[in-house]
Amino acid sequence: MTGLAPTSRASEADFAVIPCAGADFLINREEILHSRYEGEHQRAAGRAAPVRVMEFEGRAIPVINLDGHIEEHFGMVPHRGPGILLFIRGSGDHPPFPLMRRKSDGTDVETSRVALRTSAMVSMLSVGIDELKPFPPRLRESLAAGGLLAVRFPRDGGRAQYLLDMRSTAILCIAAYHNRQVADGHPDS
Amino acid sequence: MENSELLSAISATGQGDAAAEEPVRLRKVVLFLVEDAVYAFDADEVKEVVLAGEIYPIPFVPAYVSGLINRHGEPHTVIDLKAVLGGGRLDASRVLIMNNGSDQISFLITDIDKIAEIPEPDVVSLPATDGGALFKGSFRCEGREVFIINPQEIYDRLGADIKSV
Repeated sequence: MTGLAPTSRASEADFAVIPCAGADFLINREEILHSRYEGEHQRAAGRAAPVRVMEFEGRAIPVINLDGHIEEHFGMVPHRGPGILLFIRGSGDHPPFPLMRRKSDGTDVETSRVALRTSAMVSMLSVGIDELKPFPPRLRESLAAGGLLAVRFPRDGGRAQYLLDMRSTAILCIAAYHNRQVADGHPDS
Repeated sequence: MENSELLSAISATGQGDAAAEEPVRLRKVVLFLVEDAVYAFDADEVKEVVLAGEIYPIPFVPAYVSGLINRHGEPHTVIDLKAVLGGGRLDASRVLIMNNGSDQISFLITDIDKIAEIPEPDVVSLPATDGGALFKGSFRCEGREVFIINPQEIYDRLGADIKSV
């Protein structure tokens, strides 16, 4: 475990902060079931792959390359630190999760839990709820579908902080990965 | 001519003069530059011109959306007018913050040219084939043809385009 413990008061919420060149990304602490540093053997297992599969508590679960997602869509690279895995709840709610199947043996990948991997120096931050601003109305729906919920411009003049919805981000990454696989003629993960 | 007739005649003459001397309606516009080209917005559609500061990129939006700026803690969409007009990306640092309720939209421009009042009859409407929807009309100013941009058309276009990104 990494000690991403809650610290906020009632009008505040706790967020994991992923610092990048140009802006930061916030993840609601409530979304994170638990976290842990990535082991050497996991680091070696395809850090750059957009989605991969790892063994976790006897199950095969998907691992999303969060750094790659941020780099692809925002053109920003997270400040490098030790690899960390953030575990979130996956399938079981709406919207439904895309199915995943292992390419090696054709078995289903368990998506009730999903890990998002980042090599950023993740820290915790308590933020007043009123400091988080919804996006301009005409952009809001499209950005929410892409996993972006709100933005914060810190009062001290610091750079923007985007609030990411991890579940939507995971769905988007898995769906995009599927599409790429199909386009390449390899429909399985 | 009796006095009553004389008065009627005087009144009628006066009314005619008033009609003839009715001032030409003026239209207040903000002229601005997109690189070397001059465009205008109706002045009541523009709230302020500011230095953009940092423009933060956002994904899942049309290519002519440059990103977001921070205006007093509130995010405002930055639309690249050069890109809307099909001319590629504009490298500039000023934005026009628009008066459009809660939409929080701004336009990236090169610079403000001036604020002017132009006679309404000088504004020529454009046929739809010549960008009539995007432009409210055009007028001549200091030897230049200036197009008055219809921001509502761009807002509507953004609303439609963003659904297909």
